[in-house]
Amino acid sequence: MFRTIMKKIRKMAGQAQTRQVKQQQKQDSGSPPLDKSLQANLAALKKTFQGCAEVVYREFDIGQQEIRGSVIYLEGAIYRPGLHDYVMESLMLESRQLEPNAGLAGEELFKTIRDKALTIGHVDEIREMGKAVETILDGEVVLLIEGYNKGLVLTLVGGEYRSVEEPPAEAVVRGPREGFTENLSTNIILVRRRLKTPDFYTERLKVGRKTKTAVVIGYLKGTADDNVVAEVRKRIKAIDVDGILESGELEELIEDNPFSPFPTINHTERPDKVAGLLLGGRVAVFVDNTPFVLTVPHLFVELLQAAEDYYDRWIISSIVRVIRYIALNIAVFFPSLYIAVTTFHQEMLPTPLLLNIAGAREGVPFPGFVEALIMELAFELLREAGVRLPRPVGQAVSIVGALVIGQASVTAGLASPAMVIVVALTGIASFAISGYGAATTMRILRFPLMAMAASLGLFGIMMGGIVIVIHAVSLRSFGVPYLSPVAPFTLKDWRDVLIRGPMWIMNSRPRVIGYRNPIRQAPSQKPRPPEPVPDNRGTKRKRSGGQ
Amino acid sequence: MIEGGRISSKQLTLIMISQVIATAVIFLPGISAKEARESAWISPVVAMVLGIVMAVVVVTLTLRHPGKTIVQYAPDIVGRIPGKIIGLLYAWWFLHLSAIVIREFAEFLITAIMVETPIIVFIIFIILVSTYAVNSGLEVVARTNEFLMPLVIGSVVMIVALVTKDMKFNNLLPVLEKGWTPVLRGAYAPTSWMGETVALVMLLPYLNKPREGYKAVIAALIVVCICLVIMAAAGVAVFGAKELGRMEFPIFNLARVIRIAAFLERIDAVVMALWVSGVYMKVTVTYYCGVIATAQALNLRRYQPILLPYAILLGVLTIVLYDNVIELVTSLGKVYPPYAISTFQFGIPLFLLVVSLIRGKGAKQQPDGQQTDRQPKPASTAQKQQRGKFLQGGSRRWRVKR
Repeated sequence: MFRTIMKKIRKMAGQAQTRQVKQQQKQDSGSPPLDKSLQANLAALKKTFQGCAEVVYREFDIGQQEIRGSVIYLEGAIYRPGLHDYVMESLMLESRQLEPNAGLAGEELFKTIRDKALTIGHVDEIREMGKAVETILDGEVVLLIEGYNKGLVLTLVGGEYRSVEEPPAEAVVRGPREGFTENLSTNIILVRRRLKTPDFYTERLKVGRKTKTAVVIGYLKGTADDNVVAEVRKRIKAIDVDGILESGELEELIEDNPFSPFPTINHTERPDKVAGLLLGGRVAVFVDNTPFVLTVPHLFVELLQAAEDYYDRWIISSIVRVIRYIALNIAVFFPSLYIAVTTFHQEMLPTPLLLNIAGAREGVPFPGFVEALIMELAFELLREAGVRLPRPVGQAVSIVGALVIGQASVTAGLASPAMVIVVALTGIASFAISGYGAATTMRILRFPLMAMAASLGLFGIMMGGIVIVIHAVSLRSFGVPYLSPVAPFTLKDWRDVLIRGPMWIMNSRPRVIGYRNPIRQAPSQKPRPPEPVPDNRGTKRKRSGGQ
Repeated sequence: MIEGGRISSKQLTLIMISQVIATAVIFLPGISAKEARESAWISPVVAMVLGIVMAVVVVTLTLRHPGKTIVQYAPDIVGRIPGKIIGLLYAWWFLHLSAIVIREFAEFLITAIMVETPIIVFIIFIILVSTYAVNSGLEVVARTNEFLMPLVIGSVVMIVALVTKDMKFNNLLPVLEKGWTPVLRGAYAPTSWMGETVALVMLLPYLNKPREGYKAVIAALIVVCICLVIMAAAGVAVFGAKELGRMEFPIFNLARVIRIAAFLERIDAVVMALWVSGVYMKVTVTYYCGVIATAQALNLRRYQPILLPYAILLGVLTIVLYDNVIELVTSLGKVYPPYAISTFQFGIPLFLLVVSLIRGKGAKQQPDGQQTDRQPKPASTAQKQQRGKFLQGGSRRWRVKR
């Protein structure tokens, strides 16, 4: 009874909300056309922007006929020398030479202004007031002319942006040092410079009622799965919120499984990584005002593939990658294994080691689980504080951390030295996983595992691990099983999982994602030494290289 | 449709492997060695041949009715009421089998590893985690199995590799000292384990290419056979046939023997932990088959609603099934094989196949298992009205298809 009432109330509330939204949308779409009178247009704009002190309205006379015109723009958002030299100067001074006989009028005059006077690259026509407001807010210049019910949009985007720098969170030893910036067009160009093909499609969408954030879907036509592209487009178009400030907010609105601790959408600051993923058939989502670009579908194995793997020689990369897999297991299972072994399965340790650990644990008043919990929490606290604190204070935290976690806790008898090693190793190992968020996921997963280990030993760890596996296996990222190519198993794709296979065997794209365009490169490119050819005297001699 | 997912033949092979190997390797070498003595390693080969015969009967039968499980096609063959009874019997059989498997493993755990923990704790945990997987559907079960199976096979290889230095191959002689009779008797119990591929009657309809069923199950049995032969031979070589015959959990004793570099010793707990995943998979698959069989026998549209009662029933059955481990081992060696083989693993499928061949029921082998009868029968108008009323009641989620 109560439930039905609540349901009805909820339904009514929902209807009211949708009605409101619909009304608002109506207001948004029905924008009046521009007026013929410049003053009327300016008055309307001034009324719209009455609370915006940065909007500049500059009126002037154009050409010999001295037609009244006006540019409207946001102070600080445009490239000002461009406006001065190629718009105002052209219109006010140089255009006088354009029309020796002052007989031009109407459409022809407008065309002359657009095609002969404005010496800048990108010019568009607009006819609606709403569009004018939107483009001004986008940081473009709007030119309105007396007597015309249309205006021109002059793309002179400028203003201050952070320059292209090395991304601090994803630094590499070998590889390009460019990282994305907060500027959308810079970001797209950074990728386009690496993919010089018209097949690199980009689609622009707007998200957010107030922020009107530009979102660009980028993919390689013919390589990316069209269904995935369509799904991404559909999900982004369905978003109706007032603001998207960072790609993380968008991510949360389009991901497959919102209750999973695992990320099913990848984010990166590296253009080379995005280019590589696009070549592998992924779809990238660029969001304005953030250096983090999203890529889908995202597989679990990507967490353990660093961009650098592909730039180092394959044997080295493969070894490093195996180490990374070990690190993953340490990050998730090590503390719980320690608890299980010290609490239930002491016989597994060699006797001298067991005696050492037992001796060190003698003064510790807590059971292994509580000890581990305290130390792990202390580590997480320090990590979090280290991220949040202003940089000058950070050093103090690290000193305190080293002392508290390392020295003092052992001396005070709160933890055993072995536990300190376990915590330190776990913490370090978790950072070997690419992506800060994913590393945190892994570290959080170990807490329930620790509880299981403390109550049921190794059996508990196995049960916890199996639950994690079941969950991970049931995930999908835009239709692609999250744990592929491990489960479901595809042997061919294992060239790039546990090891990084050499370039010359990666002839096909991963089957799960790149099956639309499976062939990546020409076969049999394995380099081999030049074949010895017999010379005139009959002795064998190596052919020199560059014939 | 009760299950929307499809599995590949590779996944089916792995499911079949875990279906047989998980419990077989724990108990079998001991049971075989009791009868066949030094020739214990030959018994699994005999069992494999018999197992393949049984599996071929099951696959042939199921392929004659593409897209249907035994619960659905039994009525087509022997008539409505007897068919329904057969369906319900299979539902019971899978319930019983999962209870036996859980009990086996729980007994193993409390005997060998965690002596002080009450057995019900393990039972509850295994059933809970299994329920989670079954609730997520067949695809998730198959993928979980794909992820965990390498651990199990890996642990067999690891144990055998690490005990090689303790093997005395003289223990394997003489071969066939008393002729074939003891070997055949030793193959008796293994055959019943091999026969557990009968889960195919529930799983084959969900194979994306049903015709590959033969290949999948035969490959699985060969892999299992190799593992069992190796384990039996290793057991006899390390302990000698007499001692091995007395052991309840030979694999565990083998792991205890391992001692390498004064560091790798007493890794039995690790082995146990890896076996948890094997047994867990077996439980999950039988559990899944049981739930599907029950749901189909009762004409349900989704199986999720009966998961909880089923789990409770399973838990209780697991506890009341046996009083102690001796009873369990005796029943596994003596009572279980005739019970299983004569009825559910071989008897009923063979009977159904013969009847269906004589009466000419079921489709002749269709190319790539066209799904003929997948759609539920159109509901009568009265039913539709009732259902409509039910939906208007506000709970829309009943209509959501998986």
